[in-house]
Amino acid sequence: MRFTYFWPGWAVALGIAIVIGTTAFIYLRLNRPLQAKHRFLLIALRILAASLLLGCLLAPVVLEKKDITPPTHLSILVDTSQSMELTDGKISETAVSRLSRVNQLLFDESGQFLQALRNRCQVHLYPFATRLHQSVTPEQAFNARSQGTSFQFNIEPEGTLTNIGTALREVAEAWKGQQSGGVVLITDGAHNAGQFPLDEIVALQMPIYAIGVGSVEPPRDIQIQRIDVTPVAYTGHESIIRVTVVQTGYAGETTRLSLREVNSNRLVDAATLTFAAEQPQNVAPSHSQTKQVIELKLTPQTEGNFQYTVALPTLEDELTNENNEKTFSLKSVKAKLNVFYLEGKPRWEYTFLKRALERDPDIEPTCAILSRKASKQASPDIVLNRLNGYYPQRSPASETPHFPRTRAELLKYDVLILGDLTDEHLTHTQQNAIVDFVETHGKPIIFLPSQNMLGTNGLRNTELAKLLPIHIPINGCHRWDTEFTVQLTQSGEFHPMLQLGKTPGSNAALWRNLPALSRFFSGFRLRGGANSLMETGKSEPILIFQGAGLGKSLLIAAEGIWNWHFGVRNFKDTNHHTLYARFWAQAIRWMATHTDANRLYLTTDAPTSAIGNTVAVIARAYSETYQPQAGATIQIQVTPPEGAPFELRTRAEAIDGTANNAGTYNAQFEALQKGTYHIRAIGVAGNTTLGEEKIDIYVHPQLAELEAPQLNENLLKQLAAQTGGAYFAITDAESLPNNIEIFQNPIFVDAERELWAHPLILITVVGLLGTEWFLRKRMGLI
Amino acid sequence: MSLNTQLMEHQEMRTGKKLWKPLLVFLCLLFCVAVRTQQAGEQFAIAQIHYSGGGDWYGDATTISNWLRILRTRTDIETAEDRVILKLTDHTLYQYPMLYLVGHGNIRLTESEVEALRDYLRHGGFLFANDDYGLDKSFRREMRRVFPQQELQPIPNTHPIYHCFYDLPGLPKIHEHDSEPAQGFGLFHEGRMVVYYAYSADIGDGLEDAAVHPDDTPQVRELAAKMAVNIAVYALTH
Repeated sequence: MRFTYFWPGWAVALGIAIVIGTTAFIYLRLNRPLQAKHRFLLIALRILAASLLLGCLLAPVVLEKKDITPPTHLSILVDTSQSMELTDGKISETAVSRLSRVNQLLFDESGQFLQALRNRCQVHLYPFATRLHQSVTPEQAFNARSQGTSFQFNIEPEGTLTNIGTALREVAEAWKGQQSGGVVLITDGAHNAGQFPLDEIVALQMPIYAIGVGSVEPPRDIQIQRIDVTPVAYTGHESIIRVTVVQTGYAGETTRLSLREVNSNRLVDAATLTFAAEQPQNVAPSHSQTKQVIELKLTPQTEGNFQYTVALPTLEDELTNENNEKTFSLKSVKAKLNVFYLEGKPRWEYTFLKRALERDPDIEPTCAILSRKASKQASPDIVLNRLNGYYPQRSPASETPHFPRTRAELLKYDVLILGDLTDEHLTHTQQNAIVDFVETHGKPIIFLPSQNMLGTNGLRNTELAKLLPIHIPINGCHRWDTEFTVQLTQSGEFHPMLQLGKTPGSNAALWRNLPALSRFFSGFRLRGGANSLMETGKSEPILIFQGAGLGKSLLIAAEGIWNWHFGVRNFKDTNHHTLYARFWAQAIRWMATHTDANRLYLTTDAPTSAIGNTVAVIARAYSETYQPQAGATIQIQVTPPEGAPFELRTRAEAIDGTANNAGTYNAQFEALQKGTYHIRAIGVAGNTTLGEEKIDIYVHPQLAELEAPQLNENLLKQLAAQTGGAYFAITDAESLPNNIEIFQNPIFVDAERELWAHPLILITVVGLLGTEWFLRKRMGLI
Repeated sequence: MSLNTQLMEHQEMRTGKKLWKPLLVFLCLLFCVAVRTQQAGEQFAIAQIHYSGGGDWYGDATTISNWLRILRTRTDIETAEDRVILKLTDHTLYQYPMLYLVGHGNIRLTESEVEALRDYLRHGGFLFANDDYGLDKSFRREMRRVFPQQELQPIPNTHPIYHCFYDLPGLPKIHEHDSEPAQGFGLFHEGRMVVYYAYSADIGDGLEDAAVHPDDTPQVRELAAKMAVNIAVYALTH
């Protein structure tokens, strides 16, 4: 003991002397008869009491050892993901879910498991799926139990994915720097959020005591794991849908895979499927699972956004049928441009244009040459006679293309090119069908005359004359076989189909330097509204455009354009080498394009998505000349199945930060609801509207938990072994508390305890003064 | 034409007995020089290759004009009147998408001619080579220089070139060359036949004026005409 309120020695002695002196003085002055021994007893009692009080004023303390050993924390992580709701009926006759078994272990009536842990550590309980949930304090359960009242405490299922790695990292962070006894991990080990980060977990230096829940045998199940389909299908063209089907426990059984259009519930395609007994060599086997890819086909007939569902029937004893179907969205757009080119005679213009059309990946050309002269010859070995005058273009010759037999067949084409035809080539019916094709159905026609078409026996007196953007004179147009270079008119300089250079100046130079043409026609009169886009050096129009009814008509009143392909081969400037193909590609696309046509295209990175996944949206913008449009502003709005639409921020680079192709814009959003997300984009480049585009994507419930729901015992054993913990089956979990190793030495420190407030002091003082008072009463002093 | 016959002709030329023939060739050359500067225009023209080494490039003097006339009369093809003669290195080469090569014996191309022909064929041109006798070995050698990666491929009788206008059973035999059967060969680029080589058939002689080869019957000449039509039509439609 020591005094903490320091007084000097003389002051203490003085104080004691004053107390003794005062007490002695009072009792010695007392004039009552009192034995000396009683007098000294009373003096001693009073002096003792006063001394004690005086001693308290000096703040006496005692020194003692204090135990400050920190508590050892133990975190219990309980997997609450979807797979923990499964019932492993084969193992347990009681058929309770995995999570129910966990709740029984933790919160049963005896409470032995948790109590045993609490006896050794400070216990924290965390449910988790992809990350830790709020810590659950089981104190209520203990308190209720200690008071003899019933309290039902349960951990509820929650979460559609399992990420053990993230949960462990988060719990390590929560108790970083504290004494830890490790982590008790109660799970089925069905980690399905990416690669399992074993090395990272080992680096946390945290012993993990894993309790495995569930059966190691995979439950019987079939599932549609994946659908691969191009995001865009073409009308009238077959699209292949590759469906990946995974089965567990149904090897050798046969079922039927169906494809239906969602709105109409129309069966589009179906396939009978026998589950393979053995895994194909190129697919990694997983337990008794096998994986098969089945191809289904669909041919959209109309343009638009459609949803299709691929489904398998529910089989007997199947784990779940939630993963037996998948819905995906498919945008159906017009197919490749179908171009029909009918020529009146073999010539180089035909040869090179046909080759250019065949090389264009977005054009499906059908080219034919119809001869009237050959069919007038009687020679039996002229093949054309057997083909109604058509030059054989395919092998066998019987498949040689010909002019469509019906209007419906003709309307399948998007662009019609007529070569050097005369009034003999086409019947009135065929001519009327062409007029109807252009004027009524708004389709384009391109005239490519040679010596005959604009002559006296050409199209002048046919129904087709009204489609020409010129009036042919009575004696026909004049034909000039002379070399000339072309120049763009004022309208042509800015016309989309004639933009071959990057700048107006370079564009004009490219056209000016093209090889000379060798023939043009003159003597005609432009129709009202016709527009000359290109002319000879003597201002004779050679490229004339006009609207014709609802359609468009283009006349190239010159010949030798093939030279722009073949004749530029010895040009040093290689920019010229592609001009011919580009000119025709642009001309045909512009002709086939309506004025309100879109130059904006939207796709998503996958045909279907799952809740919680990120959906990437890709927009591609094109200029008037169908070149990638950089610097455009793309607004993308997403309307979820429920709730208000929201805007996406687009970036000109790819999502991963890499450089994008020019004209490509990316955005992304997180799909949080089940159902169809409608995506709408509007593009603007400068003052020009690029159009509006819509696309849908269907979002499924997250079903990854059902893909490999069996107990992954190997993973948990490996995890326990590498972190210094141990693995327990849930049936052996009661022995876990005794196996937790806690390495902790007790820590003691010196601590002072104040004595002045100690009750013994008060009792002693009161006792002394009370005894004094009693004796004085007895002695008759009071 | 056999080697003995050629030697005899050579001797006759030296003795002056057949001076009219080189004179005719000279006149033809003069005429050709006059027309070679003409543009082909939009009329179908066939340019005969004036290669630089050996092989009598100037043979078949009347072949092309007769060929063009046949095309004009039997088909819708608008043709030029006469042949054009070109060197492969001429800057006007790309005005003529179809070339005709004929010769006897050892033809040779310079390196620049080989490169020019390769570019020409790759970029859309078509070559018909006619074995006028003894051309085969040197022509194959030169074609290997043009397309080192491939050999001349035999063309089956079912190929469109035999059926694109006239339905022919195959390459007709016009002149007898060492009793070899007539055979068609081809070279291809990106799926397109760019060279058609008529070996031991001599279509070119069959198209010559009747007076040049008076022994040829009208039936044989007709066969040559039909094959020639097919070759031109094939080049124009494929």
